[in-house]
Amino acid sequence: MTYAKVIAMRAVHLVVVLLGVSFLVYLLLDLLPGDTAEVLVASSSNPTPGAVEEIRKELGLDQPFMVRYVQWLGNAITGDLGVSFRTGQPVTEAIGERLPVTIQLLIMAEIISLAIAVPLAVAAARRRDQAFDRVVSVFTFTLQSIPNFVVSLVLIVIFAVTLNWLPAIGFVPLQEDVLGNIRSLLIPSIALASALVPLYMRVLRNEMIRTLQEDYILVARSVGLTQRSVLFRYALKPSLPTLVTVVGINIGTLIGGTLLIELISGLPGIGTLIYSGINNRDYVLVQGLILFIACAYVLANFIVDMIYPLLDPRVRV
Amino acid sequence: MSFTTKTTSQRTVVPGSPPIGGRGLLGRSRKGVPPWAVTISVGWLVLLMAGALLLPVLPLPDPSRSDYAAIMAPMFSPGHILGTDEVGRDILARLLSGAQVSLFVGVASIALAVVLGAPMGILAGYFGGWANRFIVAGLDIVLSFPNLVALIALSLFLGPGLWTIVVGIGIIASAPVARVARSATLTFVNRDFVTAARGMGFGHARIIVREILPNVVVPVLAYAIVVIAVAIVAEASLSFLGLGIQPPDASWGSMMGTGRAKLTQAPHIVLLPAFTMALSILAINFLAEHFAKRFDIKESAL
Repeated sequence: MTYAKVIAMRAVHLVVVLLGVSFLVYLLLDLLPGDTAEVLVASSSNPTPGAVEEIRKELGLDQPFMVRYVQWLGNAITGDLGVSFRTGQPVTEAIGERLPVTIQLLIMAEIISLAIAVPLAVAAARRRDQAFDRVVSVFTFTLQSIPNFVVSLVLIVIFAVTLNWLPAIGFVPLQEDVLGNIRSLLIPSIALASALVPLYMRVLRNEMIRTLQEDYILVARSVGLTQRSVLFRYALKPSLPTLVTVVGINIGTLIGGTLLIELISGLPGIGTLIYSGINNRDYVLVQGLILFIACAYVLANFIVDMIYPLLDPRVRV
Repeated sequence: MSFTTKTTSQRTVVPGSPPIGGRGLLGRSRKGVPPWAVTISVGWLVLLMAGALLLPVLPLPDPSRSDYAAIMAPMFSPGHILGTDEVGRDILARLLSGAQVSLFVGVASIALAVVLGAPMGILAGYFGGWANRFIVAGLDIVLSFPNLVALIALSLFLGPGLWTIVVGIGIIASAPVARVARSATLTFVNRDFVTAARGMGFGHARIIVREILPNVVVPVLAYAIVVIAVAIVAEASLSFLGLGIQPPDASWGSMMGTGRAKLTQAPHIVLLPAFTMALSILAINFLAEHFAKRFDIKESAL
């Protein structure tokens, strides 16, 4: 199969999955007890008789399900996810406001986890099955077993409550105070990284071990290249594409997966937005957010699939 | 905490390219889980289960009753060995009561996930073609939703409570279980004994039940142990948000969720359920890894 054909097949699959996702999101929220019109009327100050019918007509809720779905999907594709009926703010705008916080949190978490995982993995692969490798394995295995929101609570107790080094809660915007901004994101990003380090470390270690068994490594060693040069220039580089794909997939997963961490640390990101949407029964907002998060995940996967063969010449087809 | 982090390591990117991800949780080392770790894991889980089951007859205060004379009592207080929470309820009794919930959710939701997911995966793997494409696309759709977000959406729908959690986790976890079952089926469907059964004129139903199923059961159950741990974390996350187990009933998640407000005055209210949960998850993961090694299940084969 040519690369173009693989892309075409994946693209068809992508469209099918995205359509399925959007249909499921619309169906689920549509089936919820109580409709938007009733909620709107109940929350207005002086409900008039027949107001429910009026609003229902105005919102197009009297149309059949499939008609409403296609309309909603058409709007969503053009970036119109509707208007939050609590705040009156367009959902796309609300996402745009909150997304930078979540993205910054993710970037910091990725930097921290790669800074820890890459050296550990290289060192463990070099000493495969020796004491150091075993200790690192048990350590990462243990770390992986602790849910990241538990890690964040423990970090808050240690670094905010007991030592008073970092703020326990709250967010400082980057424009206001760069150092304060990084400090306010440090505990949540370390907590997120605690779940990523074991995964990255394991993937890279196994990939390194595989690469180190290749003939060209033996050649590199036999011509007298230093250990450092063999490890970093000849073994680490070809092992990285696999890690890149796992990092990419996880960025997609984490956009919605930061909910508890954001909530615990009081960060105004996508996670807290969805939580408040649910608490306020702001279904339009929740619907738009779930669609956005699921699409981000699917697209991240698709992009990763597409660039993997370009990164690793060995699987170029 | 995600059902999908596990499965991302099983996906193949482009046909013919090596699978992404690691081997076992402990890497590709030849040795399995150290025996002492298995012993401690079994010991901890047995202790927890015994405590959960014997809670009604143990000499402990009622987990839902407040002792107004001892609000936020520290650990090792008289009458409350692990102290009390923000409304004076005995923490040890609540931990064991929460263990009942965790064990029930873990076992019941994974049973549902296997019952829903395994047949889908086997059918997709066995028949291939359009059945396969249809089921795989369906699984990809379900797996596109972050677990917690999907669970929250389902809890809106079904109302908060124990059965919502079980049904929600069961449905969501059935997707990765189906993937495992499908991959396992694919490795057997063209083996000689299956071809032989076909040659003897047996029908699909008989081949699936007698030839495929016995071989798929082991990898599915080994994977199911991992999902028990994930289910326990998912329940705790929902209850932490107040969307799971409702007060005054105890759950490790809700203990952390409500205790969070008193983090500065009485951190033990949050830390005790946190440590109990972390230890339990660790123990379950060690056992899952042990079984995977024991039955020589390689993720690469999935």
